[in-house]
Amino acid sequence: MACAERPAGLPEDASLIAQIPTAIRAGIIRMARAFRVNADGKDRLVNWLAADSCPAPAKATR
Amino acid sequence: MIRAILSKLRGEAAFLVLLAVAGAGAWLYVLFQQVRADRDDAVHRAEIVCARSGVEWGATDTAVRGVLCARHVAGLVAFRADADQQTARLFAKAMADASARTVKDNQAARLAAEAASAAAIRMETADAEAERRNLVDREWLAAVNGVAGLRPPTR
Repeated sequence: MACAERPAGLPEDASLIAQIPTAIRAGIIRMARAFRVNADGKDRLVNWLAADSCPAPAKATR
Repeated sequence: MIRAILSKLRGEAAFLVLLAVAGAGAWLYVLFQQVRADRDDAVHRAEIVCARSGVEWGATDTAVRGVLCARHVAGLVAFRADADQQTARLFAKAMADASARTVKDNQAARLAAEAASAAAIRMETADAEAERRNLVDREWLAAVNGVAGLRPPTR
């Protein structure tokens, strides 16, 4: 079993400013939250089966 | 009267000696019968024990009989002790592994939950700001990355 895939996220660039309708923003946030839940859960599962296979979950930074 | 009996017996001295010897012989014979019965019984039991342990008592040769069997039984005892020890060791190791694994998993779960809740709070603030300005800016994008647990692409 492989660890969860964690691609690069959204660009954090001060020059990027957009108008996104509320419903779409909410959808993006839902998907982002679900991505973390699934990825962290999968890493925990892999670490349960084979200790220290996946990096520990990132601490709450920023 | 005693004297009369003694004098009479003196004539039969040889017969008396024979009687005494015969008595002693009979007594020894009885003792020997008992000893032999005991010995046969003991050997028989030893044969049974050996057969149960999986090796024949062996050989009619009295010098070597039971040797194989004794060696085999000693081996069994050693095996038993070794197996017990190994089992205890494996069991203790499994227990320790399981407990360490649970501790680690709980820790990972706690860390993940803490990170997720911190990101969620930040996301709420950023989204309220985006809603107010009707604009999505760097802070909002960073908050989304935080919620997803992702890093921004390095250009």
